[in-house]
Amino acid sequence: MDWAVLWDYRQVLIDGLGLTVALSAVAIGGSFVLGTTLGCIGSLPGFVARRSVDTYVEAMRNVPVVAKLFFLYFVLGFDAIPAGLIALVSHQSAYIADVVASGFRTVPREQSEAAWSQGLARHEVFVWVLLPQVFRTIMPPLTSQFIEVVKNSSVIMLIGVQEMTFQTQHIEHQTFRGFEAATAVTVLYLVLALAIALAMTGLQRRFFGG
Amino acid sequence: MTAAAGTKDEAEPIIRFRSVDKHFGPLHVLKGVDLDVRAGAVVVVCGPSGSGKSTLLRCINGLERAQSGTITVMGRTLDDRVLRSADFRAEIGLVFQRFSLYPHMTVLRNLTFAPRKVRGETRAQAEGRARELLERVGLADKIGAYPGELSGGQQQRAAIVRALLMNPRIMLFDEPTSALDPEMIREVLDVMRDLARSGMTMIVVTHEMGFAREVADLVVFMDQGEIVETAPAASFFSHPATERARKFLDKVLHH
Repeated sequence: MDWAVLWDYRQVLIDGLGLTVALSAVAIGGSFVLGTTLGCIGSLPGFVARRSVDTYVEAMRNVPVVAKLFFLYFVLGFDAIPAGLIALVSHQSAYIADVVASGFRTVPREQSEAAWSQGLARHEVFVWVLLPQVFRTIMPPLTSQFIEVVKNSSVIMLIGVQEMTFQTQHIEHQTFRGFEAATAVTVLYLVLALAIALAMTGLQRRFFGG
Repeated sequence: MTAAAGTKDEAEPIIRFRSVDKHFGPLHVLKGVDLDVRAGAVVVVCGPSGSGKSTLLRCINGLERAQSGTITVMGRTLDDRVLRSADFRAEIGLVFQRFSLYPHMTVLRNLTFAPRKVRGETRAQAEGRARELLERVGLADKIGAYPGELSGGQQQRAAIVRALLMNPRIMLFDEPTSALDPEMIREVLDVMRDLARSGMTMIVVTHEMGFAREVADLVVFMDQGEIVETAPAASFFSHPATERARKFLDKVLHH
């Protein structure tokens, strides 16, 4: 075993880590905004809204990320980074929409009725009474969804983007130190996932009192 | 003209149902309901489960809409336009069996939220009034607590205070003690009793016949979507006019 190889290739690893973090951050933001919007629309009364969101969720959830990625890159001709981001956002937003919609179903009917009865307008009930309760409930599954984005970002290496997994493969090809490279990438993903979990726990404490 | 309208207003009931019908799919939940409630009256609505009591109550503030007939509340016949008015809705307080309070807000914020948002009160105004009323129902020390940290009885008392802070003209109670442990029922009924004595118009759906007997001016007995009997509390309990009411009372008073 030769762990020194990781030190020699540290710049390669750091570049890969940086790109993975950047891609993940943008994709997490995008899929959160899109998924939440869709989940809210799907929870509105009205058949058409719910049906459209359901269709989106089913379509996106049933196609692997990598198939979406190839379609965007090879068929539609997107550049690598946009293709990767669109693939990640469209994929995870479908799951997040579903999580948000189930969050709405956990809020008792009395909550919106009480707020409306107190004279609040429908949109105020939604923003001040329903949404905070939805988010409080869905923090744990949302954390999993965000971690999923980071893990899924590794498929973007397949179209030549030099993110973290790509770089560790590169190290292996150059040095034949597969074990060390694989260990490095494993540990780095683990650290990223833990960082997200910690951040989400912090947010939960800050806004919802634990 | 003005004077005549004035006298008419005083005579007019604060809540009036005329031939109100309501269906939930195939279920006919309100059948030709007529009801008059004068301002300041305490009305207890009782009857077997599924008799339409809650639906009747929820029609008063528009949470349920009648399919035919008219409902007039505080002189206004309920329609989309009236119910869009925040001020109209805010004048009718409502306490549910449970889940009335917002679980993500402290007691203080639960109480001051709508007065500030809907009535435009300043924070200091709203908080001052909230503290005063909380004190009166014995919850001054719970001001910073979340609803989840309160007992069921404390939650209901806080919910009543929250409704009162909107200065309502009518208070609706939908089985406010049905989800409570027996030892907490009393503390909630005590608050409601005080409220009744203060002259508030109250419509209370409840199985607490002791409360009804003591506090209610009028008892409305419902069965299968109909108002079967409307009577002053004393006569309803001592000699109910209908067989159905007799049977019901027999069951709830001797269980």
